[in-house]
Amino acid sequence: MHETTIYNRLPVLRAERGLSRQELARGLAINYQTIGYLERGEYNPSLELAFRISDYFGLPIEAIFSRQPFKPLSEEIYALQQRKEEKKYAR
Amino acid sequence: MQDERSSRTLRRILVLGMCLSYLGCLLALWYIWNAPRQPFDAFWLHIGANRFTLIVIPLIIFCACYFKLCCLCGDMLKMRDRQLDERQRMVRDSAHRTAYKIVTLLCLLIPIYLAAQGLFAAPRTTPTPTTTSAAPSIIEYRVGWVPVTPGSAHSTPIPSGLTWTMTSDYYILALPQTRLSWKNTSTTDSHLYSAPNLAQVVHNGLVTPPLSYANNPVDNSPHASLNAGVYYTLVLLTLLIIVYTLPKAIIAWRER
Repeated sequence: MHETTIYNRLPVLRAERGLSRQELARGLAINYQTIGYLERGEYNPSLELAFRISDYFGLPIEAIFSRQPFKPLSEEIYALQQRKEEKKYAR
Repeated sequence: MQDERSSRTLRRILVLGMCLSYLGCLLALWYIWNAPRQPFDAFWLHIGANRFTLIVIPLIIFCACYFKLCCLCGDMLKMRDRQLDERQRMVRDSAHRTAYKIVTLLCLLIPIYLAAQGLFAAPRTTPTPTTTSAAPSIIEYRVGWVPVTPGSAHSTPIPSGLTWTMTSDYYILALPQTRLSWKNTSTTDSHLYSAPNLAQVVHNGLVTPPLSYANNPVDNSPHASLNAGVYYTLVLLTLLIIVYTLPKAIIAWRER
């Protein structure tokens, strides 16, 4: 069976919160090596683990995991701001 | 990252070490069972050891590699299910599956090897009647056994699987695991010697009993049966070792 790559934002989210792999692993009750595997995209989490991760970060699953590669967060934020400003001028 | 990579390299080197030393164990077992007597053996006898000493060296290397590997990456296999996360459980199960396939393959290779040996090796026992020669230096032989006389050594047709070697005084007939009997016409004695792994020494037309090999698997003496027991225990131990250590080696090879 062909295994699809699932991309995630775990490294960014972890860096934003200043968490080490050990701390995140402890919070999710998994082995710290598994965090490394997830971040490198070498292991796809189960649905149960994906929900646990989304609960931990307080974000929807689709904000953390995606089947397409994520754009850089700064680029997305800038695009969002642009759209907001365009809407404002349109009014 | 570099630490991870060097640790992985070390783990893989250890796994390779385990594989090579395990192959060494298998070769030593094969040698103990099959190989004819060679000058190398004289060395082992000289230092008071026997062929079983051969298996000790690869076994020690194997154990050293295995324990070093256990120290390096812990023992995921000994942990309980709830102590492992989903990825570790997946890795463990996958390692067990792969190990099972490899062991099955090895177990299938054993009968294939035995069958091939039966097909291509010389017959070891043949129920052909005995023929006797009147010449004093001719030794009674059966098909599969060989007349051993210094004069006729090189003209005698030798069944496949046997080899003659000659030193200045001795004719040596190597005949693995075959019983050899002869009648010495000067004394009209008939002896049945179990020829071990094996060399029959002929000196000036007189057959001397084969040098005793304590590890001869087909020897009938109590000492030999004890050694056969040791041999089969070693074979079993070798199989158990691979069953026990293979999943661990697979995990160590795959893990980052």
